[in-house]
Amino acid sequence: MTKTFRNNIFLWLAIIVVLIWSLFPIFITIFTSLKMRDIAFKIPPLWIFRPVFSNYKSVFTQTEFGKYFVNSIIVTSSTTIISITLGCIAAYSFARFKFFGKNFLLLAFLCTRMFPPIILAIPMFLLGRYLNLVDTRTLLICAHTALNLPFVIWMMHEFFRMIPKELDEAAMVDGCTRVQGFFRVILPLTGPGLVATAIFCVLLSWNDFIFSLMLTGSRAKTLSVAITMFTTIEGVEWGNICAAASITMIPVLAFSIVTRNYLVRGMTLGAVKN
Amino acid sequence: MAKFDENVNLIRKQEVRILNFLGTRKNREPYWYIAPAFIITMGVLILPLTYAVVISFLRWNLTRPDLKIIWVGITNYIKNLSSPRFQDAAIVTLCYTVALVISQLIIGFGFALLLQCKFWGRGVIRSLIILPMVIAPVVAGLIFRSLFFNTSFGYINYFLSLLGIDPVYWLSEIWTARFAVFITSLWLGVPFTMLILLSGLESLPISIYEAAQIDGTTPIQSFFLITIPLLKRTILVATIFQTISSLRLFDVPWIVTAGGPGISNLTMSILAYKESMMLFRMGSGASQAMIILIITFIFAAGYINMMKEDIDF
Repeated sequence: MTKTFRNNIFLWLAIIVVLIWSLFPIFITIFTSLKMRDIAFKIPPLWIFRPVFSNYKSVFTQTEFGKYFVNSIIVTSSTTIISITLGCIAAYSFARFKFFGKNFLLLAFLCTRMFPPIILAIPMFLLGRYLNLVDTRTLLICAHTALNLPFVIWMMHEFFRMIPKELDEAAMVDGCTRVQGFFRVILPLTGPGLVATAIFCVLLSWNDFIFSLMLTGSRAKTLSVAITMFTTIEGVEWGNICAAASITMIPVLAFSIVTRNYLVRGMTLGAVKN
Repeated sequence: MAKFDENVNLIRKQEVRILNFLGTRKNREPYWYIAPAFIITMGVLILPLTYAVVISFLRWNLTRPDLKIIWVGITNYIKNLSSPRFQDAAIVTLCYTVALVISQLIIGFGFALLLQCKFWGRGVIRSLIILPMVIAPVVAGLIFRSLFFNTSFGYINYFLSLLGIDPVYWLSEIWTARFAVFITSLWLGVPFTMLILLSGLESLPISIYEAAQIDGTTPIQSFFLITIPLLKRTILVATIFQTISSLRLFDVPWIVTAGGPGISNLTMSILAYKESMMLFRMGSGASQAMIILIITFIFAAGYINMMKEDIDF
């Protein structure tokens, strides 16, 4: 159903307002991060200036930001790879076979999305203490996987169910084992769904704050916790704060612009009966 | 002879049933595929969860090794549920949830109605509007706190001064600080609600609207009498997601207000964090986290119930 507005000017005015609301904070952060330190927080703000990258340079040299960036990348990619790999194989099984406890497990996996992260963070902290894993990336990867893996299984099983069983059987008739059939035939067909699920994993892991806050110290800190370091030196290092925030934001923004169709599709899956 | 056949059939059926239950060699296959995922899930999800439940029944203070860890049953729960600080945090969290859900539905609906008109550049604009939801809540909190709600250097106060209004001490007063957290969470969450509502809107058939127009319905009437009832399920789904995400609110209030001027802006998650990571009262903290979980489940169960009663077209 598409409504057509009678008056085009109002439509475009509304669109401009919506765009300003959505993009102004992002824009102003990147904008401010490119200003020289002394003019960064002048009131009234300078709208025209010469952009410099000194803030970014100082963020990386004054603190160990590079290490935190690498930490974020390692944790995010590891948890995505683990969750997707193990999750897809398990999801295939959920989609193709009937076995004891299947429906209960699926419902349980869906319910894990409802857990407040803090209920996992507290015991993980204590267990990490026993295993001497506090302040390691491994513990963080475990924590993120705990939330990612059930969700991957639930989402991918929906996608696999949409592929008819006959394709499996056709592949097996042609000489593949079930596993080969899975990797060569079925998995490529769920490409878009796979990408959408991977996006979820990446977003959850990169944007996570509470697990990093509770489970890491100075060695395994990720970007989300690192940027809060700058808030203690308020009023002085504005350029640095904006540069740090931009460094955390820009990879995710670029990523989501590139994968925007999959992002939209993944978010709305299951929300509407199509 | 007939009775003999009958008996043989019965025995065969029993055999099949038993074999299906025990599993022939072929039927073990699914278990191999789910084994790795299952083991990992047990290790990183079930184990910590069970541990959390167990801890919530203990009295355990990490900074007092002299105090023995003892089983105290539901004392932690009762203490927390009756403490005014937790009750305040619960009320704050629930107020945020209600306010965010309602505002996001209204604003998200507005955006969705806008985006479902066909205009030039619609795809690009949609991709731009959904950007806020991929940004980390921490980053958004930092941006809003430093750039907008700052008293002397903030953009909001600057724009207010252009209109001749005095600067507002946003983060130093209770209700303005809550407003700041609210706006930040709203900014983050609207795109997601908008996407869900948009896909719902796009799945509605035009024919109903055409029929209504023939009958003389105004657009506003058709919106309230046709669109909203048809989208009940979609609205419920959007509400579930937003409720779940609001009940666990931690990042944004923590960064923007660190618990509010004083302790006025604590949410339940922040309280649980402080209890376990600053006061190191593990049992109490775990029980608070469990209470958040139970409240979330109650809400979710309520919504799912409502969805079951909804008759789909």
